[in-house]
Amino acid sequence: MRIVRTVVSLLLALFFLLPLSWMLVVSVKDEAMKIKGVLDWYKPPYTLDTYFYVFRETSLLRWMFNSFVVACAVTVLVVLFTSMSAFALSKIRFRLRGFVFVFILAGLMIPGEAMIIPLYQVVKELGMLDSYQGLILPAIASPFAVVVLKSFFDSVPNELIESAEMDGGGLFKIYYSIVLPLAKPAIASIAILTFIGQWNNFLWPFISITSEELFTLPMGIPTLLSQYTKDYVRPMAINSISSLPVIIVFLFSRSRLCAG
Amino acid sequence: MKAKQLRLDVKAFLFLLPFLLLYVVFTIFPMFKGLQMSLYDWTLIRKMKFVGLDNYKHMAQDPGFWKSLWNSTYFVILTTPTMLVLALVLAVICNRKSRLQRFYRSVFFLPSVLSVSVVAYVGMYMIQPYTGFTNNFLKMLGLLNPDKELFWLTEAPLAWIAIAGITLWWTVGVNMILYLSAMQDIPEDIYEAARLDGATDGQMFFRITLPLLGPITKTILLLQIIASYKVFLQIYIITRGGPGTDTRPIIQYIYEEGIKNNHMGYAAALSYSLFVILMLISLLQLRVNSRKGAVM
Amino acid sequence: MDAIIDAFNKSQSDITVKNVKLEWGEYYTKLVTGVSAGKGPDIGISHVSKLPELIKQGVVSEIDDVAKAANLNWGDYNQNILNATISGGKHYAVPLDTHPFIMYYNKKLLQDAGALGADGKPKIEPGADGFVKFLSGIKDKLPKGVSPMALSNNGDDPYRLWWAAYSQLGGNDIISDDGKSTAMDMDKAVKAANFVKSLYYDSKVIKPNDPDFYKSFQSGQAAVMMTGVWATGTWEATKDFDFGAMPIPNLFGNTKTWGDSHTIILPVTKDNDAKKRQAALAFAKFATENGQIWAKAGHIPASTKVVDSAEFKNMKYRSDYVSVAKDVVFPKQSDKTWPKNDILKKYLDEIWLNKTPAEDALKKIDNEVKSLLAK
Repeated sequence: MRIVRTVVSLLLALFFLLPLSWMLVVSVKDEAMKIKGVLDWYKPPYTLDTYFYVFRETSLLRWMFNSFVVACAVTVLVVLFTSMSAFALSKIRFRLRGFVFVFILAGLMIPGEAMIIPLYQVVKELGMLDSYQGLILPAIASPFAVVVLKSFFDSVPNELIESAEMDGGGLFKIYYSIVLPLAKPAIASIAILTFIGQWNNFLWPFISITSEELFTLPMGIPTLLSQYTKDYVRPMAINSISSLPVIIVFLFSRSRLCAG
Repeated sequence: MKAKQLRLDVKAFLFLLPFLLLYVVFTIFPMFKGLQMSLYDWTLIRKMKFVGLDNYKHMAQDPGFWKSLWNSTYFVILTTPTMLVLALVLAVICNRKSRLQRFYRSVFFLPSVLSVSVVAYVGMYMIQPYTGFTNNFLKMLGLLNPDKELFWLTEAPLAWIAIAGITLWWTVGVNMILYLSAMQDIPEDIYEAARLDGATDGQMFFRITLPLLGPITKTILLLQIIASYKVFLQIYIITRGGPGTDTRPIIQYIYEEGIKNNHMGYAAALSYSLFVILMLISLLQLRVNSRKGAVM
Repeated sequence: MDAIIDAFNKSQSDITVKNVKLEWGEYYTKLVTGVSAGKGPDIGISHVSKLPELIKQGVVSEIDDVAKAANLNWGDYNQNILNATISGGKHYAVPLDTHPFIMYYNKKLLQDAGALGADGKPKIEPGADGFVKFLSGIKDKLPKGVSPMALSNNGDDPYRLWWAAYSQLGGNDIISDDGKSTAMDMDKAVKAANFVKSLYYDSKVIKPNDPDFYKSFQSGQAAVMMTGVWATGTWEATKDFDFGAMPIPNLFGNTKTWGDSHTIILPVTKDNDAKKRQAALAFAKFATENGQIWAKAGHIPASTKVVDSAEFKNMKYRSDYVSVAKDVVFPKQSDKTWPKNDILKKYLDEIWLNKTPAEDALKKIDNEVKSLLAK
């Protein structure tokens, strides 16, 4: 029984690895390869020529850089802005607090994808289409992070803050030196989720960006691949180059993500 | 006292300002903008003329709209139950004490970090007839006659299987993690007590684990339904909505009508239909969750 | 296009043209959204069939002023295409080429199958039957795994073949003269569709669901193939590839075919900079007057001067199909042409997939195009 379970688990795991392994191995083959059966893909000879070609002939690196800049900027700003808001909602007793919280909570119910056409119009009227700002700013307006962080800040005891106030610390200092450090695990999760989400974001850049210099990786990849020809090696090399950075980051941060 | 309250109000406002400003401009305002657009004949270049409810009337009679809405719904029906079962199975595998525990978790979660473009392209190339991976793999396993070919892209049922399979592979990891963390919250002593009473592994799973996973299952279910309604790029790249329009989802239809065919007003009306559906599902989720006493 | 831009940039030092390549059918979307965002390019390409739609959307600007300033002689261009670029008495584009739908054949495969005449051209008897007989005849003589013909089973190319067959049968334009309704010849449309379908299912001369029919032909896995003339350059660049090019065979009494034309446009820009517009037109003039560079890809230049030039006449293959340019049946100029073609392809695909009988699919096309035109 135990053996059966182990075998089934291992087969499933191998099955999950198949597409990725195929992507990587095809990317180092030569387009002129002769394929008679599945194993032929996995056999040498290998070559990195296609990788060099992709780096030389395409803007993939530039788009990777764009994706990285956008994802980092969004992540930093989301963490900063949403934690400030969550702090105010959780720890400052201001008037209208309940109203503001419900106002933000309601935003959870607005599906971004369904509002992409009006968002396009709004960003157009602001003159921010086809720009970094146009990519970054709308992505920060996510109420999800505020709600999560607020519930986390709620569990920080108020006494800590009161005693800090007695010591003469300003609100910003309390936010910065007490609440933020205490919320590190929650902020780390938000940051990782935001980063991955932005790194993979397709629809909004696809619609709002028209200049090639501003393409992000996910929307750039399709423009490199013709609908009409089905070469195998170049697409897989492009896919591999695009994926390796996230895979590596994932393998390093997996303890955090997979801790459960 | 009043002055102090005012000072607090001002400070809170300053803390809230950056987020609230962006939130109002990019999340709340577009909702109203969309409502306005849906009442106009509106192109990418300019606002044309007020047409009242014409866009909505046209929508009600537009077979393209109903078919794409049904396609998205079909995708939800196809993927949601399979997603729940697969996520649960994988979570069980990852939860078992084994030297390979970390390996399993990484492997099952790994596809989730990939970009949707990459997933779609790898999937599309795998299912090409004659030269693709999938057919050759099936032949190697003896599941497909060597002289036959499965045409994944041109037969609607096969295309749906391919799209659903690729999506499951890509996103099941996230749901697995949710199940896994819920499983780890179940106190060990419940199992110990059951074991003392002579319960088998199977009994413990069906009598203890499964019922205790009820709440998280509801959450995953609703999140999954909402996420699946937003399906677009996998389908757009793999089948472009084909064969014919048999797999074209609603988001693709919105994109094509709005941006490609330049009917922004009509696309806004289409968006509102999706908006209402997703909003109802979200409300349902909020109700389900608030019964547990939590906001989220 | 890169070659033209290089040549242009080298020919003078005042203007530099930079090219942005967009594959993947999203070019027009990006052009329109770019212009709408005020970030459009200074020069663009438009198919002549797409031009009325772009003009209506306000994406393309009139060019009479700059053309006059640059001494562009409109008389040097293929008048058919030129007429299609004029709207309301104003010029909106400079014609660059014609690209008809033609047939390519693999000389070696046909030779070995005994189907190549002494003149180096395939031995095909006139009429649809003659063509099918030719393909069926070589089917058994070709090496194993090689199919007589390569064609995709959906999208553009079978649609183009259908249009060629429909036009050869003498079918009307799909859109009626007043532009408000349809005028499709149902019987002829059905006959043409059933002919194309028979190649997949009755005579079985096309490999079903070929994922990459260009590659099949290029690698010697198919004896003939049909697509636009733009493939010529690709075949020429293929090592040890002995191929020929010819018009679509006479299937129904003539050799009419599908075709379209590229034109150079000046998109509407925010600043409407006169200097940049003048520079853009200088490029358009250069590119069309040096059409032989563009013809390297396979296209037939729209400048009659270039077509008559010795340099173009000496280019291999092109002379085999340059005559086709006058056999092209262009659809009526309409701002609904592309949406109409999308509808056509969508339902024709169902015929090629054997999902819907030709009569039903074409009725659906007729209905849907009617409601499109009524919008």
